[in-house]
Amino acid sequence: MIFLKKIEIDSLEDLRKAVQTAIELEHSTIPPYLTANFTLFNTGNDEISNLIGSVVGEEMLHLSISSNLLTAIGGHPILNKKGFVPTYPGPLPGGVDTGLTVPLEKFSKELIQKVFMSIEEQEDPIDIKAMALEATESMTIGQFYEKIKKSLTALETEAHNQGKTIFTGDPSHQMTYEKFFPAKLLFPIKDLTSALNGIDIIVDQGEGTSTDPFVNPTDSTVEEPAHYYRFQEIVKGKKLVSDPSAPNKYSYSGDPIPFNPAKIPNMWPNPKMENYPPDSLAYTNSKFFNYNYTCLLNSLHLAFNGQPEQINEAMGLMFAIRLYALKLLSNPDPNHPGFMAGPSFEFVTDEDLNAVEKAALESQTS
Amino acid sequence: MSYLNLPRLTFAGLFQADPSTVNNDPTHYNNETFEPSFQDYQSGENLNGWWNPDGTGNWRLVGCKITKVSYSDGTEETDPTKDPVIGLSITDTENKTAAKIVDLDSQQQMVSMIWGLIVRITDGKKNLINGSYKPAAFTNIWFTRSPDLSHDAAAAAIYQSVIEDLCWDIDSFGSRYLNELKAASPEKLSIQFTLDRFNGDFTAADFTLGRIAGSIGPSYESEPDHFVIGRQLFPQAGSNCNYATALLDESQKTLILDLGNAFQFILNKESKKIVIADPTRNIVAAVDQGSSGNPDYYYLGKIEYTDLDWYASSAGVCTISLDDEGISLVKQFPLVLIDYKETQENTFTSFMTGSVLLQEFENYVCADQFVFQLNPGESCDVNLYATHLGNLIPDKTIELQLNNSFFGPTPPPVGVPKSILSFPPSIKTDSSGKATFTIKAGDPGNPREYIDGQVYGLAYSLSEDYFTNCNQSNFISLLVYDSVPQDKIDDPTWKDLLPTMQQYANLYPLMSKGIFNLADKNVVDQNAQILKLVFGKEKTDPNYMPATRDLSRDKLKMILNYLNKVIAASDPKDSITFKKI
Repeated sequence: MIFLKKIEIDSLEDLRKAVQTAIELEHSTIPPYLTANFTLFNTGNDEISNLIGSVVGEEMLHLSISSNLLTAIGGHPILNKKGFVPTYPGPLPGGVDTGLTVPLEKFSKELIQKVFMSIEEQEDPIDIKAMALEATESMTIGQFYEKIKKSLTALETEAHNQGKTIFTGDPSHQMTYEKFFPAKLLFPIKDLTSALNGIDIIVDQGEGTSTDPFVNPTDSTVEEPAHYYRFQEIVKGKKLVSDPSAPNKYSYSGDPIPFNPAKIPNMWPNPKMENYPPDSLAYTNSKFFNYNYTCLLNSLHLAFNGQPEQINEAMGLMFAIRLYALKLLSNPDPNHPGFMAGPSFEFVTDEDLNAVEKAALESQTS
Repeated sequence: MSYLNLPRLTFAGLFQADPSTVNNDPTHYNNETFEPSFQDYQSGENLNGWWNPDGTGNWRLVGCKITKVSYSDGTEETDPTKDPVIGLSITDTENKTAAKIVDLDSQQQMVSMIWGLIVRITDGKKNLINGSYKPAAFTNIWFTRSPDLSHDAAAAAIYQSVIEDLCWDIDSFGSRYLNELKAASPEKLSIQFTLDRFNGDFTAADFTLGRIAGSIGPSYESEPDHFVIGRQLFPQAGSNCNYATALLDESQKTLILDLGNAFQFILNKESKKIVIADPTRNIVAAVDQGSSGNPDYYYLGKIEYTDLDWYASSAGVCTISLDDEGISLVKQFPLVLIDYKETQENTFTSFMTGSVLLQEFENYVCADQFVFQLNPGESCDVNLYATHLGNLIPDKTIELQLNNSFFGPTPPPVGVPKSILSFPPSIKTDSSGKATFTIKAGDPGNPREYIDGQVYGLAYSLSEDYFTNCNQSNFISLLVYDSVPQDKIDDPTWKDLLPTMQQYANLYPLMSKGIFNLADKNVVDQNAQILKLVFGKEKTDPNYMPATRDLSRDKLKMILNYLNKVIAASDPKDSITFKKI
């Protein structure tokens, strides 16, 4: 279970900071989930891959909702700075240092169980005993969003009493994308109701409710369990179904979810571009992966800062990083015989590239 | 005005070209005979899918730096402490997918175009200049540029185009050069570069990378976008040189020569540097005042091309100062580049002699845009410019004729049926020296069966000349698509789409295996929204699908109508789009 540093929200500025942290947090799960999913490509594990992919899609939705929320309350989401991307392995943004360490690793059931389920674990998951009590210096993700909801309500009420509103953002900056996210899931945030509704979708898709592991039908287009339970399906190897005979009326007794580890590339964990020798294919493809990932963050930044149509560019870049990840996973890791290279999800600038590339460039161009 | 005018900047670095090569063999378009092994890398004698079956189609600028600027007054600077633009990056997009490199056709691979390129000059904090590269085809390719290498690696070619839709953010930057450039050419810039030493060995670390050096300068509306109205220098037999362009700048009293694609380079194995292949040549620019067969050279200046950083710091552009007599002679007589040697005739006398490396082609004609795609019923306008010693000449007759000798490999047949193209047999330049004519296309009627449409070549030459004497790189290449029956366009079924979709799945394995298998109806139906989005984009958009930009108007309409039908029937939210990211 993830514990975030406890935050206080006393002002609109504090609230904006908290929502920026939410954006960073929602994004931070995508690289580890995607990395595991990339390693399932063409391995005969499509069902597992689709489950992880469905979670990734919803994390993207959560990132979008949080960004729309920040824009709505007059903030400016920042997605294009180096510090936006966490270092892997490491804690997630806003997390306490003693918390969970999240790596970029190839798919394994152990990774799902020890890391991904911990990320998505709620305070009191069904079938699992209550975890740590609320610590004084930390809070759960659920508590974090609850705090944001309370602060939104309090600050908007206070503003309302003065004849004002905290929803001062430019409505034309709201990013919606009905071709891919139904309007009931991604909608313009313009007032307290739509803001609270958006947060409820994030929490419900991630955690489910305290009595039902399935996502509330109003927060989904298909019947599916919350993220935690979707990951547990992978670990258990069976679909979660309603089961009147089970103590909690649900059990992992549905259709099997087969797992075949044979073809999964043996990716060296937590790759870094700078660790690859500059004269290796792994380095070249790592660089192009990171170029595209950086462009993706830049395009998302624009999409949530007044140019919503930029989301179309972002879509193209999402496919581009997939292609380079697949190339990397077919390149041997030059530093670790027997292992393959992998995506490192690093925010790069021209300056970074020059330092590493100088030697290659000099022989080529002088 | 063009990149050869002032103020001009020079840049150098690397480029990436990552085309898929399964489609390099025209017979691979035949779905009936396609083998899975055509998607494998070549191995030994077996070509399979050639050198890069997993190509993304991407084209990028990599690690390019500004190495020199030349100001409007003719002075030059290479010191970044004097002008902060020196040393900055010239790079491509920061928020879109990469540009694409695309052959016109499997049977015309010698005019590959760059589509969707963004060009930026950035200091790492902000974009000082940001603009869109007008899609352009390469020209002046030669395969002996790097005699130490083979195949594509030994080749070099140039791209010349313009950067449009410019955004400038230079006011607080304090670069004299950028201020002068914006003042001279705020709307549009001219850009030219030479590509060489491309590595097509898929096991090499610098696979898909090559060397780039080029120039950016002002651009004026009245000028062609893709070549310089200037002096055209042709390589002479045995010279181991290639085409070059020169420009007389009377206001600066200079002759500017672009020799970027003219000389050979090799890797010096000891220093690990790429150096001029033959540094012993004493190369001199001159005019030839003599009559045919009796040369009489007036020497203008020496070309200092042997310094180690000559190419990176100049992109091959050399400036020679002229006195009044020199200017007068350059205006009257053709230019030559000579390997100039002192020869001892006997003990008492010596004389100067030289072998001609490059010779000006005095009467020249060139098309601006020379690559076109047409659908049945469509037409395109071709702009030609005729020059004599670099000056536009009015009332000059240009002859046009079909010439398909550059296309291949065959089968299938190229250039037939001829009757579907209409164009005048000859045209005359107007009072400004420009001639515009129209090519109208009919329906080729599927002469190549498994490849859509047909390729046609249209050669042009001044009436007193033969095409074979001309620079044959710039003949007009046309791809004319087949039509599709209207009922199939209006109400397409999957069966109607399948041959085209199967072809894309076969020819672009990275796409079909890595993202969407377009030959699978379920995949297409389940991703109708995203496919509609990318098929519906402008060709100039880097996300346009197909990346190869070889889909006819009719087939595109058919595919879009099919996708609309799927969406209308079920309004599916793409169920696997995100699962596929």
